[in-house]
Amino acid sequence: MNIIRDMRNSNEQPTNQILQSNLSLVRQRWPEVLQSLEQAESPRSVVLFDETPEKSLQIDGILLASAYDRYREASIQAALIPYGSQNAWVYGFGLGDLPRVLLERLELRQLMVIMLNPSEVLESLRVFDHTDWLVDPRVSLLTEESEVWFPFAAVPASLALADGSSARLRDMVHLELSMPYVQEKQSENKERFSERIEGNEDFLLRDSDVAELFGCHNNGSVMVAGAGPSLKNHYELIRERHKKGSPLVAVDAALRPLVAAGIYPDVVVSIDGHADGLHALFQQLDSKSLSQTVLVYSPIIAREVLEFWSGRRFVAWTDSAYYNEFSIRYPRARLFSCGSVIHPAVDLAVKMGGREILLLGADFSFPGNRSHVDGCVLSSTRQQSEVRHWVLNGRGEKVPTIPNLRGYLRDLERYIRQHPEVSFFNGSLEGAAIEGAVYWGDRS
Amino acid sequence: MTDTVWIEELEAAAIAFRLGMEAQGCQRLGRFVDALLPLLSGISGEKLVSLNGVLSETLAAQGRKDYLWAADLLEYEIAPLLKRIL
Repeated sequence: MNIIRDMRNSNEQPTNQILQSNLSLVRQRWPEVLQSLEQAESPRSVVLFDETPEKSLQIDGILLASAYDRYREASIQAALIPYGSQNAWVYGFGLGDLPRVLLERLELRQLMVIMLNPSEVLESLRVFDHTDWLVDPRVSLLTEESEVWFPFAAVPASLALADGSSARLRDMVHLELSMPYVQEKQSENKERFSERIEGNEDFLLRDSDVAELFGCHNNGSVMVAGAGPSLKNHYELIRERHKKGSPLVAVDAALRPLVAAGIYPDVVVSIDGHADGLHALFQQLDSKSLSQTVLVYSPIIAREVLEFWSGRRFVAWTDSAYYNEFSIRYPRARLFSCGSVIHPAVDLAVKMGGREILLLGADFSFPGNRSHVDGCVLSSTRQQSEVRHWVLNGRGEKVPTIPNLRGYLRDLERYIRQHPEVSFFNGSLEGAAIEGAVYWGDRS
Repeated sequence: MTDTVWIEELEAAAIAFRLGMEAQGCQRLGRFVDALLPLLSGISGEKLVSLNGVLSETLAAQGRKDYLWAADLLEYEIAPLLKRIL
């Protein structure tokens, strides 16, 4: 399809007039936004689609709006905002179509448009006239937002182009947008998990309630080991702190690598009912050597794991609404989880009484293109080409990840915000930076 | 699967992509391809080549997270083409 024109190579630049009239309005209404536009970096490529049914713009390979029917597309997006809403939030800028469609609603009193990348906005302002909607007194153009507000709709292209400073917000928007999909998946698993719980009922009735572990280490320091690649850099630190009495709570996938390093966690947490091969995480381990290690588990895990475990076992429900019914039949304490085993591991560390939580191997990404710590059966090399998503690491560099891990990270950050009484530390600069967790090397 | 499943999946994928619902869009796109494959056995070589070209472009757009272009190709190129040839 020969419909595109690379504006970088074209002598026929769009007139400055469009940009100037857009910027003049921005200057007048939102001087702070103008400042951020002035500092915007140039995109690698800007391509105008001007032979398609509708004009559109592609920045760094991402089309900002439909090249066939922009109004229809914006109407589909606007449908996420219920009719009758007086306030609405739009995440992303695009070609301004979504705000335009929403402003047709007479009942709308305030429309907040959040920019996720100033260079995307600047290129859009350079080529397309936005004055028709930017002039509307109901519109606020915002640069720095850290929350997802409701009701909202998003411009997908802006999410894909979000810069480093908007990455956290982008991920939270994605989390919200993925909720219907997650709920659909959960309901698909419902029957399977119910069967698992019934199959594990004898253990469920016999084993202790995780609540018995709560408060066992009041006001102490607790280490939490995830199975991220950076865990291997912390074995010495773990040994040292373990000797000094700091308990180690490990996720199931970290157990084998830890044991191989001669480290026996105090607690192992296992909650994954999806992974049929979960018990492989425990293969080649000597069950007897783990007799002093406690297993905290969700009753949906594979029965083989429960049969294998020689140490004490404690039952916990995770806090998904899905378990409400079961937790009435089998009352056991609940642990926070939004899908990742690191969540209940951290929550348990806090409920044990930890007031200082040190996160080790909680990478939420693939530093060194590795998926897990060496020695974990799940560990694999991720080719750069197969990883399209990223988060910022502790050094402010982009590090590859996948949407699930990115979502788990933002859920953990939300949990951390809800626990100001606890000091969280991140042992690594290689994995994702975790908001609210100070780098261990920088602790005062 | 019936021979209309492909259009339902195609439309659902395009809508999800336009809403920014990545996971849903990718899932429905996969289902669209699965529903389409058994229907292609009787299609002539030339038509298959043009379909292959635009499908490859769609998957490439999905791969670089260019979801709105992927949605455009699905709705405005692939759907009309399939309606003509199937």
